[in-house]
Amino acid sequence: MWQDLISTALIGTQRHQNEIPINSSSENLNSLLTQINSSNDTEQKLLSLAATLSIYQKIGQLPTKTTLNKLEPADLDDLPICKVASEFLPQTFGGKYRNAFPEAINLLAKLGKRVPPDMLFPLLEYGKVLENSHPTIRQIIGKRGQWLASLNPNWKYAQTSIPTETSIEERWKTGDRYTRIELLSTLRATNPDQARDLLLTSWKQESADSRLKFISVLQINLSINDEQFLESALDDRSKDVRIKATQLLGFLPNSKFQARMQQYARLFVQLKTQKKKTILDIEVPVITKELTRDFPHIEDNNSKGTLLNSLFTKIVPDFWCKEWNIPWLELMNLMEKSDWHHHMEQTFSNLSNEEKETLLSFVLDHIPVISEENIFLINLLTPKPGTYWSEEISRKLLGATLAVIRENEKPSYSLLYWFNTYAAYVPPIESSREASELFKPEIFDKEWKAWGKAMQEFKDTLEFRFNMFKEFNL
Amino acid sequence: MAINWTKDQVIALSPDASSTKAGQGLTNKSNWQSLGCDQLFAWGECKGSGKDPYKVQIDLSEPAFKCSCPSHKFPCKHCLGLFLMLVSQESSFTQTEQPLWVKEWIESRTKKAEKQAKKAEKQATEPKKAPDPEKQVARAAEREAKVKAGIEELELWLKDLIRQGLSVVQGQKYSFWDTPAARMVDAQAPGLARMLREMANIPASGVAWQERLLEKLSLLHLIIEGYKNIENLPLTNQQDIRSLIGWTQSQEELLNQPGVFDNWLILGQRVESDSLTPTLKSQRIWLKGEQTNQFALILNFVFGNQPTDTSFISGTILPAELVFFPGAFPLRALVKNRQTFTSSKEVKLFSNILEFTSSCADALAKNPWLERFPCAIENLTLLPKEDEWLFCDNLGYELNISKIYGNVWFLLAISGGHPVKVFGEYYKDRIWPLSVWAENQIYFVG
Repeated sequence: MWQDLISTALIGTQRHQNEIPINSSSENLNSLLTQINSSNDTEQKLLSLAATLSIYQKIGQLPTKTTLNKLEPADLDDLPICKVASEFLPQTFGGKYRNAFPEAINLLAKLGKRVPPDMLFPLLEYGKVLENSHPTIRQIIGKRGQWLASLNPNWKYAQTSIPTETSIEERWKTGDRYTRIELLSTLRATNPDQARDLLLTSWKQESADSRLKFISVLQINLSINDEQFLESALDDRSKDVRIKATQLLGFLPNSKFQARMQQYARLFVQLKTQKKKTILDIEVPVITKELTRDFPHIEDNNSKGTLLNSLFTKIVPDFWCKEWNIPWLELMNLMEKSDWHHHMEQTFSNLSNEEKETLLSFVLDHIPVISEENIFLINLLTPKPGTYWSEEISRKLLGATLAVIRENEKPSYSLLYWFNTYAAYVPPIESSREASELFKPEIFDKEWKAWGKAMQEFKDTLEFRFNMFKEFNL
Repeated sequence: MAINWTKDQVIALSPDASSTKAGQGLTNKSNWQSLGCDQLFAWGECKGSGKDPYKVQIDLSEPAFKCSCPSHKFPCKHCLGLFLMLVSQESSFTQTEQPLWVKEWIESRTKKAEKQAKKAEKQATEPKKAPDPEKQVARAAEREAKVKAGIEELELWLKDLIRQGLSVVQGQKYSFWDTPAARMVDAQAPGLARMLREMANIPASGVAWQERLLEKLSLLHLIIEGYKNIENLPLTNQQDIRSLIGWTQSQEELLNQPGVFDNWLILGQRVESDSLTPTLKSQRIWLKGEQTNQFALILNFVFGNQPTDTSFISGTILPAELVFFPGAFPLRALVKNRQTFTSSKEVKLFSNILEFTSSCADALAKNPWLERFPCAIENLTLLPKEDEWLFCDNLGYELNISKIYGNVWFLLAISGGHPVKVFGEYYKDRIWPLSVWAENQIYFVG
């Protein structure tokens, strides 16, 4: 009947003047509707019938019984909740304390606790793109987080679907990609040869995308033992895999690949002086099959810049100093001014914290003041996320930082940005002492507003980290 | 502190997400030059971009806020930051003696309250100059005549539309609806004007638009018929119809009537922009009486950047006397007298979805124009259905969640797939969750 009413209303009563049949199963309703239907005013009749029926339907509407299967709920026997996490963690999801995020989740993992349930959604969302943090995130979300991640394909990274008691080979065979990457990374950290051999068992059957992800894991504990595998990967079907293999081979100073690269460098690259300025120059070679194998990029773009970038990324820095007999720092500056500087980050990120500290110490001995010219280099030598500088380096950097403030009336963006970086990597025990050192009146009383704001943020970050440590009882 | 404030309760006072984030960013001790509190007040000096720190004060009993910053938001980020600090780091509030500027604020508030009390007393004791009854009657008759003429005109328009058929409305310009709506404004029937303007979007609302439009038109018809026959209707129905047409109830008169005293649990609140006037925001605060078991709605309207009412803290109990707007199913209310908040107690909610829909049916039978219902149900579990999520109760009944509700993943995280108490607004057969009780904690999920 309701449908008849809608049809009539849609066409209009002037074109549809037939009586609307009263056929409700309820006697009371039928008698009411019949009473309305006796009216001679067609439009009024239709509207009254519609009002009565729609209210009747609305009032009598029963909820639907579900036919869906209940969702298996999360296990309530879970890790203890760290309530303090609610105070600190949200503040590290972007914003001025974002650099403290890796440290915050590491601290939580150390405590063996999980984040409160209301933090799971923002944490899993924020962590999606932070691949380095995925293993730690998995540790701090507890069973509740694992359960939640299993319901959302975007959070697959946070799942550890296979129990750790299963054998490594079985986990490698049956695990999803995230699990396998984690497994390979863990194994690579303790037994790099076993990890590579495990990868070789299925290498040829893996998809191009998986091959790329897996070969990237070999960065962990990369050694000359991996050379044979990486050389074979230079003939892989996927160009991305070939490019990755060249990057990794570039980190092996005694490899055949390194020797080939140095040979190319001697042939193609020159240090020239033009208008009293030293510049790097390169000669574009004739492209051969061998050259394409070692420079997969060159197929698409054989410009000078591409070749120069490839060579500088892959050849050990020491080579250039010996070859051209110029100080390392000067060379670094030349490189930074070249197109190669985009690749420097990648090159340095593979260094261990100890290697970075050795280089940084060397840099700081030569450049006591942080400046626009050398800030890029210091930024490249920051420790891995969630770890810290040693106290000695931290103090040296503090001295260099204070010198910046004293010697610059107006700070540039990169110098202001430096404060945030510095505040994130100072060892936490030092935080309060460093802060009090920096906030001595003779420094803070400077009138430059821009410095003042940067300093304030810097101090806030240090205090934030310090409080976080205190609250986590570590 | 009168109640144990939680972080979520403080965040619920925030005017928007950016203020929340900014407030959270001020929860470092380093941001504050001084911090102090006593049983009723909290204060602090927050470092800002200016030379002098901002003086931030909170009266915890209401709560009320005051900050010397120029922000037009209320409460501002400094007030939120101070409140969040108080909740999480009370030990940092080392000052116990109120500084002069806090004393001055308290004094000015006391003076203001006294002035208001005196004014109220004066109004109560000194009878107001009675308006000329003759003029009053004449004015009422004039409006009644205008409304009557307007309603006759609307009836003609409505019948004409049904005669031509609803198919004519598709592709019509907004003026098709706005012209009769404007006539209703002229006829001093703004409620009917609003109903017409709201109908303008239905023809473009997708599948089954005809059904939705016919339903709305038939409800409009019911008002017209009700008004034509108003003298024969019970008083409460008369009040509903007059209110739907646009007669307003004097709040002052209403507050002079006896109210309902109870311990009211503040179930949740929602602030929403008006569909027709985006600069107008409505704030709906839902309460449930501990003794009376009655629901109540405190409805506030704010324009532009005006602050919303922050004196209702979701999840707490407000002992208060409420006066309900008259009607067949009284829901909207005003607070006549209030006492200090207390911490939340157990309040009985609907046991299942069937019990809730039965209560909706009762309400609709009394007032068929009701659109929004308070929905507070025990033991609801989330279930996935195709590309959306719904609630299911312990009897296996389904309750759909609003399609545009964006916090389902948050709900899942806090419930863990276990049954939880849920409160929300039920509108157009779907719930918009606002509060959830899980593992002895209340979460605000609106």
